[in-house]
Order: sequence, then structure tokens, then C-alpha cells
Amino acid sequence: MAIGAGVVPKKSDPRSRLHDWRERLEKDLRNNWQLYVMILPVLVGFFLFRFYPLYGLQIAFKDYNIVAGVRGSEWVGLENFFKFVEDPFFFRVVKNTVVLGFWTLVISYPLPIIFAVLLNEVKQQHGLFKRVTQSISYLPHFVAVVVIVGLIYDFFSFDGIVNQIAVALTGDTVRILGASEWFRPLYVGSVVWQGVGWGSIIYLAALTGIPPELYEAAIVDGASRWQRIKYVTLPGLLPVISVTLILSVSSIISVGFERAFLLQQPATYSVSDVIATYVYRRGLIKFDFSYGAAIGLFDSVVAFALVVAANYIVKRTNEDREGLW
Amino acid sequence: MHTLRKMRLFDYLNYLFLIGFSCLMLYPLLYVFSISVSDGEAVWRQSVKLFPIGFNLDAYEAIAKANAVVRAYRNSILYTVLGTSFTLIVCLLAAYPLSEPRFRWRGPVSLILGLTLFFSAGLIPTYLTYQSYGLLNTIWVITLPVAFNFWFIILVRANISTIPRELKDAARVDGASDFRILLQIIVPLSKPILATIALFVAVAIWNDFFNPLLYLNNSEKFPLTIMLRRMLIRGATGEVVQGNYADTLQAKAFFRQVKMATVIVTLGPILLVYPFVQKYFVQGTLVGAIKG
Repeated sequence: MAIGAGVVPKKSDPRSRLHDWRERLEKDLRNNWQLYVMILPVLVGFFLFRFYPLYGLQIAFKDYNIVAGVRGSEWVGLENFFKFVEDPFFFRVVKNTVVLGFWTLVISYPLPIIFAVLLNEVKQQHGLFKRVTQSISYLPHFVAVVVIVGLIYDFFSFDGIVNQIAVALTGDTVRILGASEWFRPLYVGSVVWQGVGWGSIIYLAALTGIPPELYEAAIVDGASRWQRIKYVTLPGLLPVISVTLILSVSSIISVGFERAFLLQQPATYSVSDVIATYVYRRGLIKFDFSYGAAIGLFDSVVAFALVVAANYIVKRTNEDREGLW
Repeated sequence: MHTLRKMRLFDYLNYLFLIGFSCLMLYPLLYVFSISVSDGEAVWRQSVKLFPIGFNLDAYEAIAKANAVVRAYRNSILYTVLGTSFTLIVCLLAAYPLSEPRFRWRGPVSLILGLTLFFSAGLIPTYLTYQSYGLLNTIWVITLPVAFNFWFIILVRANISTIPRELKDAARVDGASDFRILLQIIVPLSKPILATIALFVAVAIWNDFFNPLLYLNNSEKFPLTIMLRRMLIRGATGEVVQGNYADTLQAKAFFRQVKMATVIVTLGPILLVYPFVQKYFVQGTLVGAIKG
């Protein structure tokens, strides 16, 4: 028999006996063993690196100690979660996370849309200008966060380029690094610098889907440019906007680790210590594994709830009742 | 909209804004480059603001002699190449059976692997698990877990399903094995999507700071990002660069040049290939967005 010929799997018959089932499985293994050989390492890898850690998540409900291990440690129920809520730093890290996430969302979410709309207004005869601007705008996305933060440390230091400009303008140096009031602007600013161009890709793609006839008709009807943007461009973007908005909302509670961690200094913890960095410090640096795992779980549950809530709200507010799901 | 070719005030303002925007994106990178190649004296006198003043490559020479940086560079290349290769291999090994009707478990397997898109164990449980495998401080912890990303598998599977069935069937009739079909038919026809995934993963690993921070504590294994943190943020350039430097303004300025040169060599590979591969990135993002 030629390999694989005629072994299209039949719909399984619920009444078929175990014997038949085994026979078919053996035949399948014989004919398609190569497929099994392919998928096996994939399954093993996913199990080891993605699923088995989920089993370790139980330590959030345990008092983990290294000797007893994950399984042997004692169950403590929700104690770690209560501990977090009563933690003197609870309010601080949650507030910092939400405030930072909120400003990042409010400032960095609309900018790519505005940028895409403005690029869309570039005239067709200047296509090269448009393409070059696009390419340049994507570039910061590829710069490592550690490089960006490193450059912030250089540019905003006492004798850095920013203070050179400040001195030239006002005669005074400004203390920016290590100053609590500057942490949020630096954080949000670096997110914006890195993300505006890249974030606009999806909107630019949506804009290419708007039929040119709509614009032509608008012009014939005497619509001004603002009217064209308002009545043609923005409605064309709306479906994408609602999807990206839902997906962005969870970022309020899950401020990324790398940027906050690299940009923060103990002197700025009062505004810069977020949930992710607190988990790292308490969990891995101070070996409070169970506590760290519990905070992390709390964070993901809240983030998930936010997405569900945002999806619900978007569904309720737009006419087509369309959300992510 | 483009029937109106005439430029109006709005257009001039818009173009001006976009040019300003581009300058804002480019200026930091140009400044970094200028500092790194300028004359030492111009740097410590702080006269470099935009373009290089003078020209010297002392900073680059110092990096080339700094064992720690060279080793970190080698490590970064190794991790990137290895991690990217693993990812592509896993993608192909998973996507082929999952797109093959003869594979009767493709529904359940897709479903189970798909769960990983929604659930992750979080920092601490993942760390403890990898620790229990004895993976800490090995190159495998940086290069292997990253390869098991169902998202990329979906992309490759979607691509394979666009390949005409007849090609595979004909090969099978001719006696080709599944492995042979995968290597000689699927891989050549999936090159664009594989290139896109490879680029995404390569940049992600090259720029990754988080995983090396968590899982590596042996300086022999550090990649560039960890080295960059030591030099740029911790201000330990003096320890990294070999040689005796007095605690003078000149030395401080030179360390600054060394830092900037390190940034340039870190960005180098990306900047060099960027103009050629940009369209793959954009396509990849869009495929992801549409499928998502």
C-alpha cells in the first residue's frame, strides 16, 4: 500500500469498540509515524516551557520553601493575596502601575492614529516623502529598551545635552534623573518615541482599505479637508480603533517590566515602583517566591478582567455590537 | 482626495510637522553616532551637538579590546542565531502536521497549544520551573523557551494551507516521505513567512534584557543588553574598558564615547539590514493584526 493512501480518518463511531479503536490507532501510527515524530518534540517543548510552569502557579496558594519544593510546600489558601492587600506597599505599587499605565495609554494611544491620518494627507505625488517618513518613524521600535533608557541617562544627566540646552535657555541646570516628578514624563516620553511610528502601521493599512471614490465623492460634494478627515478617514479607521483600544486597556495594569525597572532608581520608587518590578524584587531578589507568584497572578487576573470589561463596553457602545468576541 | 494636487497652508504645516517628527526620531541616533566618532577633545568640551567634530575611532578600538564587550557581542550573536533557528524548526515541525488532514489529532493539539496564547504562569513559577530543570545560567534558557510560540506556528500553518494540495499529493505518489515534503516543498514555498518570523524573533532576542537578567548570573554568559546596562546605566564603563584611566574629565568624556560606540555596534546589525527587511516587518505585523 502506498504511504498514506486511503487513510483519511473516518468520523469516529461512538459505538466502535476499544479493539477497533486500537487497531485504527496502530494503523495510523504505522502509516503516519513521521507526522508523530514531527509533532512530538513540539509537544514536549510546549509542555516543559509553557504548561508545566502553570502547575507551579499553585505556589501562589502555598507557603513555598525550597526544601519541600512546589508539591511538598504547605497550602495556605489565599493568605498570600491577603498579605498583598495588607502590604504597606500595596497601595503604592498599584497606584504607580495604574497611573503610569493610564498616562501611557492616554498619551501614546491616540498619537499613532493622528500620525497615520496626517501621513494619509500627504499628496500622492509625494509618495517618496511619505515612504521615507514612514521608514524613519519605525526605526525607534528596533532600538532595545535598555539602549533607550541608557541614552536617557546620558541625555538627561547634569551635563547631558538636555541640560546644555536648558542652561543656554534659562541659565539653570535641572535635576531630571533621580527626580520623582520627572520619572513619569521620561517613561511615557520614551514609550511614545519608540512606539508612535510602529503603532501607526495598522492604521495606515486600514486607511489603504478606504475606497478612493469616497474621497472623490466628498470633494465633489464640497467637503473641506477637516470634513473629509472627520466623515471619511476616521469612520474608516473606527473598526481598527475599537479593536486596538480593547487590547490596550489591559496595559493599564500590566506596565512592562523592562522599561520601568531600568529607568527607576531607589530614589524614585515612590512613583516608579510598579507591580512588575515589585514582584521581581520581592519574589526573586528577596526569595519570597509564593508572595511574588501571588502578586503576579493578581496582576494577570485584573488585566484579563479589564480586557473583558473593555470588550463589553465597546460592544455596548458601538452600533454593530461588535467587539473582539 | 488626491485629485487636488495644489498645496495649501495645511499641507505646508503638515509636511513641516512630519519633517520635524522625522528629525525627532533620527536626532538621538545621529547624536550618539557623532559622539562616538568625534575628537576626544570636542567631546569633553561638549561642543558636539549634532554632527561629528573631527574624527577618531579610539572608542571603537577600546571596545574591540574590551574582552567583556567582545564576549557579550559573541554571546548575543550566538543566542540570536540559535534562538531564531530553534523557533523556525519548531514552527515547521508543528505547522506541517497541524495542516495535514492525515494527522487526526490536529484539532485537539491546536486547541491545547492555543491555550498558551491566553495563559502564562508568570515570572516566579516560570523561573522556579526552569530552575528545577537545571536550565539557569545556560544558553538553553535564553534560546529554547522562546522557540515555543504558538503565534508563529499559526502564521506558518496559515501559509502552508495556501500551498496547493496537488503539490504534496504528487510528491507523495512519487514516494516522498513527509520529512522530504516538508524540506523540499514546504520550506521553499514558505520562505517569506519564515523570513518574517526569523526577523521578529532575531530582533526580540538581540534586544532582550529581561530573560538574561532573570536567568543568567555568570558574566561569561551575559549578552550585550546586560553589558549595556552596566555601562550606560550603572556607569561602570571604566571597569569594562581595559587600561588605566585617571579620574579626569578627559577620561570621563572618553568613557562616554565608549558607551556611545557600544550603542552603535549594538544597533549596527539592525540598522544595516533595516532598509532591506523593513517591508517584511510591516507585512508580519499586518498578518498578525488581521489574523488576530
